[in-house]
Amino acid sequence: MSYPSLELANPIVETYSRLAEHYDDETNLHSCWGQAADKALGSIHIKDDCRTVLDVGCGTGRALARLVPRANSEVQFVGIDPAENMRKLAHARLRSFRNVQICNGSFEQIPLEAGSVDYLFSILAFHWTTDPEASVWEIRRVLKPGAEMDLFFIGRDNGREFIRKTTPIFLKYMGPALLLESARMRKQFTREAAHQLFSKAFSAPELSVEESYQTHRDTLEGHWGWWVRIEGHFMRISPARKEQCDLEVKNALRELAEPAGIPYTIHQLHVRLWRA
Amino acid sequence: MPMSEAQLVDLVINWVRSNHRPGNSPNGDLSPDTDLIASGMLDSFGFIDLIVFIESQSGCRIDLTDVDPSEFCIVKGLCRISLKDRQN
Repeated sequence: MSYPSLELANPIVETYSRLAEHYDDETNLHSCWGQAADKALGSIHIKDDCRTVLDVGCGTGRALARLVPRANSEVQFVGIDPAENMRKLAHARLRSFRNVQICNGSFEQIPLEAGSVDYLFSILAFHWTTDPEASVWEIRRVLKPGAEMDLFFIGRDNGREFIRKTTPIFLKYMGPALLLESARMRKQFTREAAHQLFSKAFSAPELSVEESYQTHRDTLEGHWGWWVRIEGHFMRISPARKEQCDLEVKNALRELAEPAGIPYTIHQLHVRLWRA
Repeated sequence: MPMSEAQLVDLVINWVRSNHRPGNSPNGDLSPDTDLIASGMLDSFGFIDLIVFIESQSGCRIDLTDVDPSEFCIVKGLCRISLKDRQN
């Protein structure tokens, strides 16, 4: 038996598009990932001399909706995302702003002129790139000389509690080949590997890579609220087996419970390009 | 001279000792019968790196299609899978 998912060009993009209307559900927004995204967004500052700001992986446009009203109206904002239905929601959210454009694009293919961006940011998207090195050069291509950048994305040790508990279950339901194919959909760099990658196109002292570890504790339902973010990994499990797989995953996660909740550690990398 | 299964097992054990997940130190109990996933020594990302390592050492392309998951996780099972195509 075959499933429609077998024909997907990019299961992650297709799944984000299919589940777009659930992405801004309260359960996801209030989850540890929603909090991590908010914290990253809170650290973003658009300088007065910026003229073009690019958000790569803009999703439903939440970050732009926060930043655009605070910025000078002369600043042009561009949000790009490869998931069509995410872009539709971003369009709807931002249609009242004349200085915002939402376009189809990704790290691998940014639909902008070379040397046109003053500030590029991305919140929790770079780990989905299919070609990290090409993406870094594409970023370099669109940035103006002296441009700044903040990329926040997950690191190699992300979610270690969950991964240890759930990998045997996913192996059972997906088999070795699909499990590894699923893992390859997401790039998880160590800080050192990320620094090495970005150093190919950018140099010190402007480039820095910082990392952070933050353990969030929540209920099972609270954590399940962000599962929409990773559903693309499991597209190759047949719908009939997926239900049973989810049940086993939930039972395994319950076993992690501590008095303060079920722990999940976010390992985040922050690649920054800045002017002194 | 083609690599034997025993030689590959030794290489894999040494690789895992150097590349296991933080907090899951194998100490002395890493053996050919160790389940690398159940023990938490490797996750799926670690397995990707391990497969690349094995292919580079053995010169064999590893085909994981229709592989038994329980054999795949065990050190000696993975080595057997890795050398299977060469022996056929």
